[in-house]
Parts: sequence; C-alpha cells; structure tokens
Amino acid sequence: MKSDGIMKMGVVLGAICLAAAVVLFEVAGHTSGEVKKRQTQERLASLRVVLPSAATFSDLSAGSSIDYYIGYLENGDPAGYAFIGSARGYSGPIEVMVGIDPGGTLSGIDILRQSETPGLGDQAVVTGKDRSLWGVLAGTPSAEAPARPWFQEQFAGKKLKQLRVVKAAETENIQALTGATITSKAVVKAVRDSLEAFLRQQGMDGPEP
Amino acid sequence: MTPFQEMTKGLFRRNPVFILMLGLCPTLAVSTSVKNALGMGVSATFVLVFSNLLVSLLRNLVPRRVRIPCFIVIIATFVTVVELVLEAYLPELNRSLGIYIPLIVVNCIILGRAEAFASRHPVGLSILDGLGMGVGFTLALLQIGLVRELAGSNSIWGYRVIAGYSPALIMILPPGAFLTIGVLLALFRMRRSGAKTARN
Repeated sequence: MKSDGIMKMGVVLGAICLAAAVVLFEVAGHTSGEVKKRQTQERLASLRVVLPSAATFSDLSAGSSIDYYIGYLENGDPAGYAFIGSARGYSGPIEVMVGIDPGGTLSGIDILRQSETPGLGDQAVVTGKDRSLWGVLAGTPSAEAPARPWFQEQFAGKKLKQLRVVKAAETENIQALTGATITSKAVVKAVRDSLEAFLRQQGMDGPEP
Repeated sequence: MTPFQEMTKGLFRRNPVFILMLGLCPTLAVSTSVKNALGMGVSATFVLVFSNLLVSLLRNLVPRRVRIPCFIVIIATFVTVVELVLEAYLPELNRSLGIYIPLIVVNCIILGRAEAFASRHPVGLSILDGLGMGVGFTLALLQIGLVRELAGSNSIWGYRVIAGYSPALIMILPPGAFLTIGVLLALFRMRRSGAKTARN
C-alpha cells in the first residue's frame, strides 16, 4: 500500500512535468522565430540611429579587440563603423551602440540595455514627455515628442578627447544628467573605452585632424 | 456563496493585496507606472486563471503529499509561457517588468489560490475565483500605479498631466511604494470598519 502511494506520486509528478515540457517546447518553437526577427530589426534600427548617413550595413565583423559593423553610403563608399561598448552603471550593466565616421568622429550613440533608476539614470533613454494627457483625451494632435533623448544626442560630432562628463551646459564636452552622475559617467566610459579599442585596432589613433 | 460572489469576492471583500496582503513584493516593485501595473496584472491574471483551471482538473488525481511540487510545475509552466509570449510580441513591456515576470512563479496569490481554493472546488468555480482574484490584484496595482505615476512622474500612461510641474521623484522609488500602499491600506481599512459600524 505504502509503495503503491510512492509509485503513484512519482507517476503523477512525472506525467505533469512531461506535459509541461511538451507545452513549453511548442510555445518556444512558435516564439523563437519572432524573437530572432525582432532582435535583427532592433539591431538594424539602432545602427540607423548611430550611422544616420549609411544606407546599408555589413554583418558583424570580428576584430582583434572589438567586433564591429561597417555602414555603406548609397554609392557603396564606407559611411562609418559601429560597435558596442559596455560599462557598469549605477544598478547594472549599460550597453551602448557607438557609431563613428571614417575619420573617427562620433556620428551617434544608442543605449541598447540599461537598468538605471527610473526618473534619474533612465533619463538617459527617456524622450521628453511633451504630450499632454488633456490633449490626448480631447483628441487634439499635439507636437511630436523629440525622437531621441538629448543626453544621447549630444555625443554626435564629438571626438575621443572631448568625451568627458561636465556639470555645466556647454557643447565642448558631455553634459551630465541631473542627479545621475554615475550613469552619465558610465555611458561616457562605455563609449570612450570601445572607441579607444576600435581606433587602436584600426591603427587610427595616430595624428588626428 | 453563489458563483457570482465567488468571482467578485476578489475585487473588494477579499482583495488579494488590500485584504489578504498577498503578493506585496511584485505590487511594490512594478507599480511605478500604470502601464507596468496593467502588464503585471494581466500576466498574473492569466497565470492565475489557467493554474486554477488545471489544479482544479487534477485535484482528485494528485496525491496530497506531492501536491505542492505539482502546483509549482503547473504555475511555472504558465509563467514561462507568458514570459516567452511577452518577449516575442511585447518586448518593451517585457523589458520594463524584467525579473518580475519570472517571479510570478513565487507570487503567493497564485499558489495561495491553488492550495486554498482550486484544489478543493470544481473547475467552473475555480476559474471564476482565479479571474476575480486576478482582476482584484490588477485593480489594486492600477490604483497604486496611478498614484505613484501621477505624483512621481507627473504623467498617466506616459502622458504629461500638469505642464511645468516638477514631480516628486521619491514616489516612483521604493519609499514611494511603501508610502502609497500604506495610505491606500489605511483608507481601505477605514472604509471597511466604517461599513461595519454602520451595520451595527
């Protein structure tokens, strides 16, 4: 009688686990294609942000110290390079897609992954909430919110030497986010480290115009 | 209790958050905005309804001594389904809910309802119970999320409410969660005790 009970327990638990495995296998089979498609789309969207002038992009090429993408203009000339930098932020890793033109000047950055404090560090990825609730309820079309967060926008046109966090509002360096100095510094570090690694790898860190 | 009452008891009389005080961890963590609150509420409701359904179906088959492992496997399966679907079709919501989706497995509302209700009642009633509890959980999350998003980000559903007003950031940080839920709990209790006094 007792061993009967144990047999039954094992069989029931095993059967439930087997059924669960079959269900999950099926669901994962249906969703994995969609996940992969979306990841490719997101990667492409991010490349377009950091290399706005490029029309087409190469696949990820392996480099000796950092992997990179090459962007091409309509006519097939290289428009620039893109690579992914990372650094530790205030509450987790921050990953940044970095784009540069062939001369080594930043053409744009895009934060791919972050888990910074809502309201403080995550201002780095938040676009202005300019749309008013009342306007939406009344159905009046209002001005579009800025498409890109200002913090990331200010990287465009900067050179390696200018990648320094400052508190003042100026255009020479990178202005810190209010109340999120650690996040600001982490983003700049991710960009600077990856850019240094890429330039060294390409032998482009010599004389710069 | 009528079947209808079985469903509506989760909304107010036995609200999982405000009365049963279950599932407070996800409640505190993901109620930073109305959008997050709704996403978590709907995900948990889905898991709750289907785990109640299956637990109730299998209630005479599962030996009592292994019931908890069986419930956990059933719940974890549905949670993983939700996670996979969110990742594929709602990646933005998945990112903002983060670790709290897999943690629905250990949300005590779900195991609590499986153990206390679904394993002792027929399928129909169990589904109604899960639905009611899920909606009650969602409503509680939405209330807290509404207060916190309004006070902490000056927005509702991501839209600005008062132009030029600088929000109290603390409300979307953990202290704001405790403050909000504390005040709402007090209000809920006050209303309940007020109703009791009126009856007497």
